[in-house]
Amino acid sequence: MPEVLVVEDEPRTRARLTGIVQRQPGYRLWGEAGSLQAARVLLQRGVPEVLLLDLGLPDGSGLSLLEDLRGRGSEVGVLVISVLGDERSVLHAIESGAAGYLLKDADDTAVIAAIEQMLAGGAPLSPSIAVHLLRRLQRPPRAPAAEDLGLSSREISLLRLIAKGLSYEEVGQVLGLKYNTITSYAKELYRKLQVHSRAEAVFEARQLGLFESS
Amino acid sequence: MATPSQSPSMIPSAPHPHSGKVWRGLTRTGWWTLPLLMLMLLLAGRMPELQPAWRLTVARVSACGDADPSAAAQAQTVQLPFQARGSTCRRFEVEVGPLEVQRQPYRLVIGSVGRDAQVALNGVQLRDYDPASHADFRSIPQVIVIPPGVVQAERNTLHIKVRGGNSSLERDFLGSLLLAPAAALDAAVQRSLWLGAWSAQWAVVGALAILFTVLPLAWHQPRDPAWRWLALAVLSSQIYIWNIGWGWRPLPLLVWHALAHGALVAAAWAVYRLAWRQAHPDTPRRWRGGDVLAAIAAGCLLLALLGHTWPILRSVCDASFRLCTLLLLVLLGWTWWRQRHVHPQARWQVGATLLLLSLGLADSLRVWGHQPSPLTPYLLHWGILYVLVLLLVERLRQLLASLQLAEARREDLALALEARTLEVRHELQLRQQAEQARALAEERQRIMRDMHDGVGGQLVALISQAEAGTLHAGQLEAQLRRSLDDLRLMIDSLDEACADLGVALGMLRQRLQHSQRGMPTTLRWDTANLPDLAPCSPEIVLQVLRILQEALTNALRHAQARHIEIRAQWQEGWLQVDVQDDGCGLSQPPRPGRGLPSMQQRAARIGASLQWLAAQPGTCLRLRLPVQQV
Repeated sequence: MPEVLVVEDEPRTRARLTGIVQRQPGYRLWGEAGSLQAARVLLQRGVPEVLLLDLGLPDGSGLSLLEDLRGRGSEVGVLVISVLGDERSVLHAIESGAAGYLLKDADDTAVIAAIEQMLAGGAPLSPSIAVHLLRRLQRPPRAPAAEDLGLSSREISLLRLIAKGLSYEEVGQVLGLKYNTITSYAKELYRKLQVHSRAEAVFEARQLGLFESS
Repeated sequence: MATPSQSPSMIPSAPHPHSGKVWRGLTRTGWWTLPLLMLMLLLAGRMPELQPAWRLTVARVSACGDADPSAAAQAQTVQLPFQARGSTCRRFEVEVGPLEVQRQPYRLVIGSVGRDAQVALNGVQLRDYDPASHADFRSIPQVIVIPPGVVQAERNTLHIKVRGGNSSLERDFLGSLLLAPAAALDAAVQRSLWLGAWSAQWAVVGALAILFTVLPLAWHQPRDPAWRWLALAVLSSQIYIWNIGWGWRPLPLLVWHALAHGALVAAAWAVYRLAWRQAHPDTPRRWRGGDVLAAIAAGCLLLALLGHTWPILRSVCDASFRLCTLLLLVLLGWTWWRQRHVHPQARWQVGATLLLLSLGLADSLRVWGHQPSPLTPYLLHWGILYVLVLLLVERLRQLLASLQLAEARREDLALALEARTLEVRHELQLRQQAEQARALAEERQRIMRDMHDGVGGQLVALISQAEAGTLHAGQLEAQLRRSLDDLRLMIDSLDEACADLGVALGMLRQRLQHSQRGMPTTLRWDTANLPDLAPCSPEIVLQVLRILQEALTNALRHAQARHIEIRAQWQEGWLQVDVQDDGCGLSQPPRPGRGLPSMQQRAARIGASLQWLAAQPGTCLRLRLPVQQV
């Protein structure tokens, strides 16, 4: 039974999302919070399975909560709530460890579908995100010590088709893959991007002399 | 530049990467050429010196011409070295004694200028006439070995018969005699021969000239053939001189004469050509006075060579040789004087040249006038060499000066280039800043306009409808969703990845999948065959997305289509997007008020064409836009 935590400062949206979760059979609302502070208090007593997280909270960015969770090594699946679903905020959230995003005006079925997809080990890939993944992961990693984050040829063709606007089903037909395989590919790509961005961050830090050579 | 009055220590010592201090000192001032001249004059004056101990101090010379039997009466006692003059003087008788007979064998040394001679001592002939060695006999002291037993203790009589031409020069006989034991004489004679021989002097100075002037110049100016000719000429004349001085003769003497004299002419001509070219760098080659002089000199040399072959021409030959050398000197001085840009130190050198010229001329006149000077028998030869060296050194100096100039100009140019580079970089920076500011302002303006066209306008319309109370809940939600969709289109159009219209279409498709979920209409997309397209501006992307969104809305809301197909293809620089529905179709012509004019305006703004085609059933909207492939 998926336990869901909703962190959203806008009361109507929070009520809508919690409502969707409560109405959905087999789902349990683990908790709800309207601020970072409240969410942290809630998370001290445990970790839910799913976190629906708004980025623009009154007392800080939701990304810092993502950082905390990752620091605790928890396996919570995070969907970021985005008003516009624009590439900048979504990609940033993915790099920080989010598994996908929800549009704030999404209807019930869309919200549940996104949660189900994430729980099944998949991740949403929009054409724009596919293009950015191609560009960022195909570029040779700048950090010399970083592991090879290059893309396999199958991943590249997958991303190319997604970038053309094909749905997962259509991509599966073209590449001869099952739907689930494609979603897990997407998840793997997300992971690569996170590792990639971490390696870049480490590299940048080294360049800036933040780490001592000891 | 240094003036002659400056001492060497006062030479400005500006550092120069291409020349050492020694070279700079040598090439910047003319002071050192004066001691050189003095040294050369001194050497030239020290002709074969005979050891005083063995010199014949007293001798009785009987000079008597064959044509004048009574010449014995004119016999006189003279000091050695002696000179016998006049056409009547053909035979000399010298009495020598007493001598130490036990110091056999003796040798006889004759240093002479003038004619071929036959020599006999106490009736024993030691040397016969030898036309082939004529020139040698005149120029170089002869060492004659006297067989044992010929020399007497008390009294010896030396007979010299002279044979010559008819010129006054030929009739002269200048001589010095030495009769001494071989053991005591050899070392001294060898030394004096070597030191005194003009050939040795030529060899030393010539080698210096080759080492320090001709070869470096030929090396530094490989494109100027005159320098090579000069180097070749000096070198061959040096070979000739060494050959005469040390008796190494792989070729007949005549050939060596031809080589040496030819080399002299070639050298003079090359020097003339160099000087002339320097004075007139832009004038094409023409026949000039210097060439006439060079031609005359060459003719004289030819005559001189002929004179060696046929004794009848000998006097002509000698005279022409001297004339030729004189002409060459005149030629050199003249070309030197005609230098357009005369260097201050060149005045000294020209002065020295003229001095040499006049001395040489005077010497020649003295010889012709039967007044031999023991000091200057070979002044002309020395003069030529000296002038040659001066010319070469001057040329080298100019070369180094031009190098210095080039280096200075290079540095100037480098500085100027650096300054200009900074200037251009600054300018570029300013322009880039201005360009960025302009682009930023334009983009702001565009976004403002787009907001005004889209979300802003829609919200204003919504407010007025709400105020009029004509808005029910379904309409409100639909209108608000439309505004949100338009806002998302704007956001997508600003996404860097969506600069590729193919990706932008994909984004539109995904957005629609969200908003169309649950509606009965099926959307079919056919965009997979699009290649990667060249990036378009956000403006173009936004307008294309808006047009398509509007078309889809029309098809859904107004035409009640059940099935909509969106096909995108690219062909030869044109992107074509068809939106085909199976709805009720458009009236012909399309009725206004359904946003069709605004779609047309949007298309026109980005240079696209928009067409409504009647389909069976329904309508097909065709958008065509010029886009390049990546």
